[in-house]
Amino acid sequence: MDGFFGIEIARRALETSQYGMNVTAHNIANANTPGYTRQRAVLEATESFPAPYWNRPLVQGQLGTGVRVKVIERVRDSYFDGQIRKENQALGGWQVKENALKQLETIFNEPSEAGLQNAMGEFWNAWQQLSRNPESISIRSSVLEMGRMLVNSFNQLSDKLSRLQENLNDQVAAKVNEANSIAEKIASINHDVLRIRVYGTEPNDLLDQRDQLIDQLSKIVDVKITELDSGVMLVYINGRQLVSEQSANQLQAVANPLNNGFYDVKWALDGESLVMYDGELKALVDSRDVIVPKYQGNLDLLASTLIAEVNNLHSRGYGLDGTTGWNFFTGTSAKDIALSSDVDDPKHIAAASSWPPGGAPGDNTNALAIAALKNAAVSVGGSLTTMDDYYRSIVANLGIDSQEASRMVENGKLYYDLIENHRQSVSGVSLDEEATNMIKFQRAYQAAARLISVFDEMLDVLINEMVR
Amino acid sequence: MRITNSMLSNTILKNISASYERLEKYEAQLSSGKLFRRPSDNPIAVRQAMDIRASLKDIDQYLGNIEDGISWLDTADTALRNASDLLHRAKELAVRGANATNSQDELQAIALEVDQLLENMISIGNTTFADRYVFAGHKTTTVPFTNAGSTVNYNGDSGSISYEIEKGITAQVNLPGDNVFKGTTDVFQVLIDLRDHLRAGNYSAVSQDTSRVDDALGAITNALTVIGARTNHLELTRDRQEQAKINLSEILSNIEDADLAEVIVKLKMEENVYQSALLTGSMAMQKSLIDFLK
Repeated sequence: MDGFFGIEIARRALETSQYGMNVTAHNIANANTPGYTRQRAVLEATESFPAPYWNRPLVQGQLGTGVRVKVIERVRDSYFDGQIRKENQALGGWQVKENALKQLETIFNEPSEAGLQNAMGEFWNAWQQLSRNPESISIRSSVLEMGRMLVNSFNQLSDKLSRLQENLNDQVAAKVNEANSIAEKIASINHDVLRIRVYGTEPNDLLDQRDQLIDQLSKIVDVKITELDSGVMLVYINGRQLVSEQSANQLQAVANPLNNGFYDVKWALDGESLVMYDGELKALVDSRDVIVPKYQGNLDLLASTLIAEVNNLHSRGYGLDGTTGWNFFTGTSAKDIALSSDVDDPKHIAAASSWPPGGAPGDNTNALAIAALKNAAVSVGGSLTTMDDYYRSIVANLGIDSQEASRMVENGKLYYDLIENHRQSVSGVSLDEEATNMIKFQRAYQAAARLISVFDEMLDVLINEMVR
Repeated sequence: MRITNSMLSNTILKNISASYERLEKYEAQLSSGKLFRRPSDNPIAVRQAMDIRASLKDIDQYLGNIEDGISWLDTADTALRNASDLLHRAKELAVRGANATNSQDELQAIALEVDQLLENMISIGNTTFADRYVFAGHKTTTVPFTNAGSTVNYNGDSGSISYEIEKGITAQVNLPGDNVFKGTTDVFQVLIDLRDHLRAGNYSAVSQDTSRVDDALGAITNALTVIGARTNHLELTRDRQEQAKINLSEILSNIEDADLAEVIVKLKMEENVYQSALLTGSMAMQKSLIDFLK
């Protein structure tokens, strides 16, 4: 044991304090960085002296030799990561659905004066109006006008629904690209992690980045994560590997001609369909292929029922010129419903139910019958209801679906926030704590410096005072 | 639990935005006066509101139909009252003409007036409402009664015209002329015969015509009674519909109108919450140990 032994201990203390101070500085600097995990310098006492072997120097007891930084580690609980990712999938899915349903509500635009219900009401009232004055050409023209307004409402609704579908389809392709790019990044981080870990260091900030990327990816599609001892994270989507140790597989959006040319999501490698159960991508596909078509189908059914019922009565009635057999509407769906060219001449509107020799311009029986369709129970897709009621139940169902989605998003967010709070509780930077550490390291540094000057004074006695 | 700065700021941000969201909701309710904007705000209430709106629209249409029907019936009523007055005058003339003391000249003068009455009766039968013949059945654009000298022809038909006056219920608003003027008693024929008997100086026939004029009067009175009953029915229905309209409007208002006082109170409370959230946020996020280290 030599006279410089203590100085070496103090030097180590100085160095370690500085190290700790740097870690603290890094934490404070990243206090607001999203995805950042606070880091901690793990200190340990260096090996004592002398080491216990048979020809050790004969000193009393073992002397400590000071401190060193063993490792700089992230303070993180991977349990919360798993929870967040699971919640992310559900939340992402519901957010997409909520968004689609809110857009549907905007498209249907009820309750308002501009909605389909009002257009239907105006149409039926026009027939009532006609029943009061079937002789009038101008009232006949206004029946045509209201009919035109109604078919326009149907056409526009149908058109907007198709555009919403196309919009969702574009988002499918965008999400696939996003997932591919995230997978690429994860693969490249995996590669870096492997290289850095070879030297025995923890690539903390890279790990943070990778965790954040996986969080993002878990929102898009239901991924499973396996972490290897080497520090590599493997990403699977329902059993098939997306990210390996070095590289990432690609997903691909392939237009499917059997489904209006909408995109199917497949594996680029062999064109096999991607199996999904949750997440944004799945919800986009579902919204596009299930939710919007459901309302489109309801609307088509309403339009085709309207066409059939009105035409059925109309073609049996007589126009002002005694002709019969005219259709009022043409088409089979909300998309192609239109006024029939049969009624280009307003005289062909069939207000009368019979036409004896000499005519019956005052006969309003057929107009009354058509107006009464409003409150008549007819078969809409097999169930007996009025057309108005059927439409209102479409709107009410949409409201209920949309409300459910909003509630699920709200619940999901609450749960997400709760877990995120737990995660932040473990991994977040606390400025108070960092300030405390700062003082700890500062004081330790000061004390170690003082030790050096004390040892210096002791050596001064030995070197200078003892000389005669 | 270890509390970190980001937790604090996240929580504060979440609370502030939740409060702001509620503020926005109340602002919207206040400015629109309505409790909901889209079906998902309250699907059941939206459904009810749509039902009631449709019913209100129906009622407005029915009320219009009823007004139109009443006007139609009023036109017929006025016409038939004139016809009744006219027949009273015809009866006076018949009674006077049946008196054998009348000279031939006097009889001719009475016959001339009866002829005039006949023309008037024909134009009563041809009464129009908004350019449509009210006594022509379905042939509303054809002149229903034309004078053929020894008889008056009916060119209309017996078609009935009905309006829908409430859900699923129709009411007839016209009286076909063949029924009114040419039913069991042909009103025109009575006048023609009276005129011809006067011209011929056939006192006994004129005397018999007096009772036939009474029959004609009876026919017109019957028609007037029918019109009165129908008008009554329409008016009762109108009153009931108007009452229903008031009730439905009230229910609609209860369902979808925001109670202003309530919304304002809620808005004010939310404003307080919002401000205190901002205040606590600004205080809590400011201070940390750093502030106290020298």
